Amino acid sequence: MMGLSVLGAVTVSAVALVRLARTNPKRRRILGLPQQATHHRPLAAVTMVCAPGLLLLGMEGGPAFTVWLSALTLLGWGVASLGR
Amino acid sequence: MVTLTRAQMKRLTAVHGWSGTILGLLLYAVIVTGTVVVLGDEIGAWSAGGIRTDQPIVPGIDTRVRPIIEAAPAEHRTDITVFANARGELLVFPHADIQHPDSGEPEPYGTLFRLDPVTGGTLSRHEGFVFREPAWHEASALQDFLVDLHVQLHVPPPWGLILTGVLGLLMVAMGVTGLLMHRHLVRDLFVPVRPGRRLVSARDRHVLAGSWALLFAFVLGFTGAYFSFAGTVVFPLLTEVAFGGDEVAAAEALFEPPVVTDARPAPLAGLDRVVADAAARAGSPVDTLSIERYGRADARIRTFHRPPPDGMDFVRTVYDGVSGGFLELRPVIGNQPSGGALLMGLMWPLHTGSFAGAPSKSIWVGLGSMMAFVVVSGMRLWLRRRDAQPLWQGFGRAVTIVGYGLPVAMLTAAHACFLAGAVDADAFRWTPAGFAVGVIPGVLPGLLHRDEDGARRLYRGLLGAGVVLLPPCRMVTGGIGWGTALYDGQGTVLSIDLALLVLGAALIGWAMRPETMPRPRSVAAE
Amino acid sequence: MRRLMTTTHRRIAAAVNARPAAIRWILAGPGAITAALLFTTAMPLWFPAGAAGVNHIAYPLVLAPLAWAAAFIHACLVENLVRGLAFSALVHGVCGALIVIALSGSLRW
Repeated sequence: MMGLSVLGAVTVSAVALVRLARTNPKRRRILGLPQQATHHRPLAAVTMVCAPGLLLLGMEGGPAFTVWLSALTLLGWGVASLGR
Repeated sequence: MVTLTRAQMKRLTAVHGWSGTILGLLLYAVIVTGTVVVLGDEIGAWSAGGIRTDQPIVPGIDTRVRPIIEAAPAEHRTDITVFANARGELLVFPHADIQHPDSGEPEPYGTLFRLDPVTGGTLSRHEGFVFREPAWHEASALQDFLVDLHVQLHVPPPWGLILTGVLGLLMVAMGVTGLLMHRHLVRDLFVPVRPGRRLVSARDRHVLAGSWALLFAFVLGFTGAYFSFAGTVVFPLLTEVAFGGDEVAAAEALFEPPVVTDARPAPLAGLDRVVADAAARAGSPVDTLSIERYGRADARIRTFHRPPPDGMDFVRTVYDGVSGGFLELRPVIGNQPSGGALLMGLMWPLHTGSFAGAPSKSIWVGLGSMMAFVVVSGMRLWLRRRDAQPLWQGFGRAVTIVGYGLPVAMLTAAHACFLAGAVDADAFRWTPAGFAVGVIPGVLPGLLHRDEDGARRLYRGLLGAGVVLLPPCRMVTGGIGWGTALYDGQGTVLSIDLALLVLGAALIGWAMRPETMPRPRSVAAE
Repeated sequence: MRRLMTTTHRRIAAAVNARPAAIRWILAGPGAITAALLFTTAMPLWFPAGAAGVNHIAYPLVLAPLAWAAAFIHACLVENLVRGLAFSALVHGVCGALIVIALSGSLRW
């Protein structure tokens, strides 16, 4: 069962990471994208990144949490350096 | 974020940059080999000609092991270890610890029996200080070589371990200094790499990868330093103050289950029931089994298991050697659970990623590649700032040569291992020799090609060819084919072959791709 | 007496501040290594062993690399070199004394 829940948690967190990247003002400026009208408030997305990990830690324990954390380390780097 | 004074910032920059420059290439070597040996067991099974069975230590083992113990000389029956090699063959080793003439330390001496796990027939037997002879107890010279390269860079003990330990500490120090130097780490986590060969691009690349890698750079460096120093330096020091310098007494107090001595003769309990019960309790099969004080009333049977699906630490059980009754689950240190045991138990899974099977191992390979990228991009950034000076240009070439040459030499070692196996030569001698020979194709492109880009493309092509040729080389030299692998359910052999073909094709593709990065028009300061 | 101490302190401070680079090299290089080794070696003498009786060994065994990292980073960052040196000397002195007493056999846990 661990596999599925970790996969789910990583997916939710990764989606949030992509959202964080897309709404990051400095990133948009460097990529030459128009700045968003609304003020940049990342709290909801940050919560969406972290919450699945904490849930995993509580429900599945250390190994699942460690897989999630390490996977996000790689995915975060990938999202930040690749996607627009 | 921490605010630093100008002087502090200057010092940290100097420490981060200079220690990275001086030790960066060695650190890169340890990281690259470490990334590969995350898959050490898989490489072992793949290169040893395919495994015969996944788990040789299962019920049914009693009839294989008992006759060997009973035939062994009485003095070797105090300690019997049963384990498996990378080919899944069963190894039975009745032994005693006797003083080795060279080291002056007690080392296991006895006769090692290598058994076919399916038929139980004896494949080989060797008498001596078995663990000094890798060819006797290991099936894969390639795995042995790569692990040794990672653990001690082939420098004799204990100096190799101390060297890699220093590199682990360096990784920790680089992480901490990098964190302190980068004032907007969290804010800049999503700042993309500005394209091109400008200084700012080099900086972006290093900072972005370094920021994301920070936590695991710390974890991997710290746990690596622990493994290097714990046995060589720290434990001997601790036993001086806590056990009057008696390492044997210390090891007994900390790692051995307490036993009331009872030398009366008594038969050994049935191993099959113990093995089945231990596997059920641990949630994973028996990896190693040891019998202590065989034939006595105070005999003990201990089993050692890889982490179960929901755990990180190895599992250790103890059974009564006469009744076969379960006695206890033991932590890595001490007789009951403790904070210290929990901490020590985390070191191995966190260093190797070996706790959740293929997913965690694949992620750890990714993390290792990421660390290697951070080291190389850091050195490139340092060099980019100094690329007008000939001495630093030379060092830049050295970074390219080591960066690509090391994997080239590791590949020739792998080829040499297969070729030696095909002609019945000693693979444990020829694999390191293959690495040494590989230094030539590893270094030459970087030395001969005047153009740095050309050299890199040549290297990529060379690496790609070497990687693509590994699976056919393995099969031609007697390794199992894909049909057999599929039929026998040997997924590891097939997956590694396929992964190598994809990786090699990608490298060749990369080598053929024309350079797209625009060259900087000027070297103006940015 | 007090005046003598002040004078000694001033002299040491002057000597340290006269060659800051050399002092920092010593603090961050050999100083950090010996401080970490002495601190780790002395740890079993004061760290609680816990119910399992192993924590006084396991913790220093695992934390030794961190002890070095802390000493090293401290030596890199500390602005007041005299204070940094004094702190390092204190760690060396206290841990060294504990170890000497333990090895001479008058301290047993």
